Amino acid sequence: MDSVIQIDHLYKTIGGKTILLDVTLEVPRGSLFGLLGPNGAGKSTCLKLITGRMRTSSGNIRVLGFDPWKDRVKMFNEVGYLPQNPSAPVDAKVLNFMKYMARLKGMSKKDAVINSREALAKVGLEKFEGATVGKLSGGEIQRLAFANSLLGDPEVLILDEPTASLDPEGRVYVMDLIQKLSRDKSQTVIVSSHILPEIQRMTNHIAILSEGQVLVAGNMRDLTANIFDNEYEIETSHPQELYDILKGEGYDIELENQTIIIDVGKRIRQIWNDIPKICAENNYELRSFKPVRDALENVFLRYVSNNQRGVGYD
Amino acid sequence: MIDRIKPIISRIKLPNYGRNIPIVAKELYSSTIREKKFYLAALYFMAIPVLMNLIAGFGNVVFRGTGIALFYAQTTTLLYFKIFYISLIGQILLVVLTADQIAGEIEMKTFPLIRSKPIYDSEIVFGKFSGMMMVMVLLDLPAVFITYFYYLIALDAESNAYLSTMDEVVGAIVFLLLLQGVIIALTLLFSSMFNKSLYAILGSLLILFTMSTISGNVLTADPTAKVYYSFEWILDAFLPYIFYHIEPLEDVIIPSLLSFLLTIVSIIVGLLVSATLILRNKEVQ
Repeated sequence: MDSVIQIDHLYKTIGGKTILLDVTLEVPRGSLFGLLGPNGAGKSTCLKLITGRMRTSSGNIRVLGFDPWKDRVKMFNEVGYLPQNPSAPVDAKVLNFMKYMARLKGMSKKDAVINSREALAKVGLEKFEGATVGKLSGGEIQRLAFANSLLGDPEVLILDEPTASLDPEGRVYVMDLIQKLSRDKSQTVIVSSHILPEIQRMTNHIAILSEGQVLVAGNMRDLTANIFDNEYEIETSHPQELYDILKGEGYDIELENQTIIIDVGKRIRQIWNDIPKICAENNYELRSFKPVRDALENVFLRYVSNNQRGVGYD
Repeated sequence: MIDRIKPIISRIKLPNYGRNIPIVAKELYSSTIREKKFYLAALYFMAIPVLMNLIAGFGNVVFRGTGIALFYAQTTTLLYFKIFYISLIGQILLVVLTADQIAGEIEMKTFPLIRSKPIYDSEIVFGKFSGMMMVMVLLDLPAVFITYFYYLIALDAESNAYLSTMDEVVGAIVFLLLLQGVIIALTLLFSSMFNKSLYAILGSLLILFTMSTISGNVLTADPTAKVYYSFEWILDAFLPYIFYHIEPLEDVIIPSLLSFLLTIVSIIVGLLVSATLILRNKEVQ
């Protein structure tokens, strides 16, 4: 599979502190790539290196074949970038700012206006066209910067924490938009975030970074395929009765707030047979039966907590 | 025929360099003239010189006519160049207007957005310089022209005096703009060096102060001469050339005008290229 971004044994040291340690990654074309990691893992630094804001200490980066530090200008013809915590000139009018940015992207005056309007409409800011940037809220400025990164339909979109400082509604909106972009225009989108459910919802490829190292990278489906959670939660109409029956069968089980938490251990196949059967026999209504943590959360916790303890996962 | 040529033409790629300079310049111009400190500068560079004309009046003028009108017009213009445009306060205002063009963008975190567009760092620097020069033209021109023509009108100059001396006025203004260009280029260098506009202001003022003091003292033959805190000596040395076509009376060492202009231009270009190099190798956090 051809890849749009190749990172090869990348190291970055800032002020004597090593931020990135031997990072090797490939971002496949057309993928929705999630860069996941706890705060301070080096996600932003990694994206700054990819966008040529910083120089690598050692190692190699290629974005669409260009070296981001040396060929930044050529690279940004095809790349859109949303920095973390973006801001725009406070005195400028929203449309004027977008027009300026579109002109810098190489558009004619007429195209600049059309493209700016389109991009603003995509992020739902079309009614703020004439407003001053200073009057926008934090979330609206985030969306404005997002619209800015969409100008000129770039082949690769690099988004550093795109949902930060957005309200829940804005988050959903932006996440849907990112998915749509990847689906309709087959753009490659790289998203960084520390919020698991968002990454799970948005992306199909992930890399987990922790303390400057890539713990695991790959297709989301492959990564989560063989991960099973031992803890399940069950909601039924008769929790106390079910609890007693399952306790009798010898399961490791707890009852919290009318919800049964069961540690299935190695009896995973058996429990999937048992629970519906018991409920059907006793006429209990089975309302939900699901793992306590979802698959990505499990992957994340396994790798990150193992890494932080300094023990490799086998 | 045309259909056959078209694809060939479309394949020729004109060098894209320089396309962004006017865009950056225009943006700087239109955003600067909306700022509060621009109004302060406009008060100083435009309003006060014009008001001074009205207050000064012509109490002692007995004769009127073209000669005396030209003399007054040119002397006053030269004086205003010294007092307002190249003096210490004039320099400070220029530095304050220019300093946050790059450092301020880094400080306000808007710089990464501009740099995430296909724009060369040199285009940013030269665009900012051109924009500031546009602002300076706006600040300098009206007051200078009003002053000059006010005297011509008030002292009854002949109508052909207006056009025939125009080249001298334009020459003087170009000279003034080049001097201001040096200050702007120097400030842009500091602006790309620091991440805070305050440091850029302090740095460039320090250099300007030192340079003008040293150069003023060295180039004045008399070692006991007063200390210059401005580039007045340059105006003293060259503007009489331009205006009266005569050599100055003061005992000043003068290189030839053309070589001096070339030196100024190369200093400006040198400063801007250094600013570009600094910006090119800067990691914007």
